[in-house]
Amino acid sequence: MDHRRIEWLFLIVFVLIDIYLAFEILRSPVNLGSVDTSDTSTSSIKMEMRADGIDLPAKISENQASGYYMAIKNRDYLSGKISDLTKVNATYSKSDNSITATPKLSYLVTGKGKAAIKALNTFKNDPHNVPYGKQYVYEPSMSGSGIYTFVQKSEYGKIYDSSAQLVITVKDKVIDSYMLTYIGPVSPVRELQSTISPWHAIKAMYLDRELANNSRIVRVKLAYSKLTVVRGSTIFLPTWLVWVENKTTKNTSLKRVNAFTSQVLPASSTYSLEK
Amino acid sequence: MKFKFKLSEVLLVTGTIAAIVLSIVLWIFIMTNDQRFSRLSQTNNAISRQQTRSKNTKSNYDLYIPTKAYGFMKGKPYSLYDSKNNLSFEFSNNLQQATVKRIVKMSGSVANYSVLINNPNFLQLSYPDKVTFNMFADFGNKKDNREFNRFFITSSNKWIYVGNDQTSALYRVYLKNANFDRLRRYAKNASQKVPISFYKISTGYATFYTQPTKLKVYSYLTNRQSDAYFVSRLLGTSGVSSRTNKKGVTTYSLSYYTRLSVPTIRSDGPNNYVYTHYDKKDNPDAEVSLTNKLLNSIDYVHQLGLTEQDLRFFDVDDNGVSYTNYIEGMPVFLNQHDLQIVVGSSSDSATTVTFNSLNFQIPIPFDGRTTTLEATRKMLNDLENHGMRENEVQRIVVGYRVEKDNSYNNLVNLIPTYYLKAYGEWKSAEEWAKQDMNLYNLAADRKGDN
Repeated sequence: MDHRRIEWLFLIVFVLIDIYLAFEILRSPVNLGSVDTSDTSTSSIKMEMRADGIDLPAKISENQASGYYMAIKNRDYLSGKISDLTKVNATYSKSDNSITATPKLSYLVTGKGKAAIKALNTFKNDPHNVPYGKQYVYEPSMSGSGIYTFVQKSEYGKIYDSSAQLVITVKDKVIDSYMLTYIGPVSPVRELQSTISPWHAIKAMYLDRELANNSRIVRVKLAYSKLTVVRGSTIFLPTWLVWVENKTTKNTSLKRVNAFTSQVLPASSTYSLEK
Repeated sequence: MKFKFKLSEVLLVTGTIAAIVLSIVLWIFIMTNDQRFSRLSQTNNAISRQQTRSKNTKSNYDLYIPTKAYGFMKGKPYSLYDSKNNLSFEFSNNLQQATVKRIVKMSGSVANYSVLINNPNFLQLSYPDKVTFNMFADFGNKKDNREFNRFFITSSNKWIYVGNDQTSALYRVYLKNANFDRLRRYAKNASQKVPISFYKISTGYATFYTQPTKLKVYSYLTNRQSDAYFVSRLLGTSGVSSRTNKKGVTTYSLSYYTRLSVPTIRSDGPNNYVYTHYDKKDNPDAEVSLTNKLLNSIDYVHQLGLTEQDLRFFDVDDNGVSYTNYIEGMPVFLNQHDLQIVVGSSSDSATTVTFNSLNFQIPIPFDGRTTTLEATRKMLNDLENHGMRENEVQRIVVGYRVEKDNSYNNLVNLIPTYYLKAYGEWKSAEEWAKQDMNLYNLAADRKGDN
């Protein structure tokens, strides 16, 4: 009987050893050459990011997109439009090339979400209220309670810059005032080119230590951002806009990654979002 | 009862023995598999290298994108260009969506090929030099070295022709999920259509401007990465020693096998970096296939860490594979006639990468400046009168010469200029006109005699 018990013990011990060894072999890639290195690097970076407490959206595209270098002529498009604004009391500020206006009649903005946006759209699309109003679209991620931000769109894509914005302030369900900046029509400077993928942009931010630990990536989006001013023109380029939320403070900041070179653009603006 | 007892006894013994044997086999397998151990030390290194690399890496389709598009109007060939609807980019995207079903070699002759190239029913896209099918996908056969440089888009989305200008080889490529409808529409409405003619030269077809042609001068703000950037990228941060010689070149060495020469005199001179890397080859005498040559060069290009936005494959010959920036469909030549990156290869297992750190950073809106190039035939006739042999002309392209703009420090203007590759060297037409062609012809004769 003893003999049999020893045999059983042997069997169990060696089966356990076998399982362990088999597990070891499976765990290590047998052939390095055939391992797709980009995949391992992607998953390992994702693992590192998780370890640093950085949450990614459920799905991040690894597909490249396309965009242009764009230019605008630095001109004053707004001062001449003041006389058309018959339904608002408007003033033009030369220093920041903007119009600030308050409606003469009270415009009611009732409801929340879509209903409110619909009311605001009707208001801004009237050229007697807002010049070039139809060229602006609502951007929820840059808006807060009572403050509705619209960004200028072009035939090439949306432009995210303080020089191409319409910010409408609503107080007590009535439009209080708005501030408008406008950069005019844009034109491509060079041919259409491919950009990096959204995942590539996030990876570049992480490797450049631009993503703080314990944060959450809310949204990634391709849009045009201002690069520089040369020879009387402002150059815009496609950027991946990455909205990063600090998990503790719940503050969301907007970071921009050059979608051609994957460099992180230095300018970043912080919007405080109330939930 | 007794029988049952015996069976379980036997099973127990065999099971135990099997488990012991299996554990020994597995143990031996692990011990003899050296990759397991090499992996331990390599993993971190490999991944970090991959990470630094992938920061600037884009798809191979960006480096290897056809650079020219041609179409026909009233039976005459035109060079097509549209910056809003980039034809090459559109085609490359279409191609990436498609899958190749079958490649059939057509019976081809030089005469047939020259008829095809002038056939007004096809839209053409071409690479500056030959590439291989295997570069883009694995077509099963490792020894497949079929080369091509020109696509002929037919009126069907089911198949295209792919041809090799040099050998007149022609392939019919059957595609699945390809759709070139938008490309055809873009080509039809292209904003720039310049009349050209295809002209047979020794190594293929050159595109000739049939009349004097007005071309735009573009401007760029440029910048350069620091020497330290390239040293740390190519050699790492530890164990690097440096030595400056009298000719104004600093050489950084990691070991005997890997080093980087950096120009220290900035204002004049070619300003080229030279990275040399010795790698033990399994069989140094074996001829490297074109596919491997091109793929290897891509690795080096990514490793350098230059901005790859406008970088395109440009030329391949015995000296190596070159890449240069393409701006609005034309290649940029640096200094007098240098290319951005030349990945050289030689027999002694050394790879020498010569590159320039100049980076075309910000495009400046076009200010209306243009330059006029004479008809290509006229330019070539002048050079032939100067002594250049037409059968030694390998390529003729219109590229940009980089000229410093005096108004800003880092501003450069790109001036359209004729460039010719002849006698194995790239030079502008202007430079060739200053050369003593007798020396070149003599050298070519000697080479021919050997």
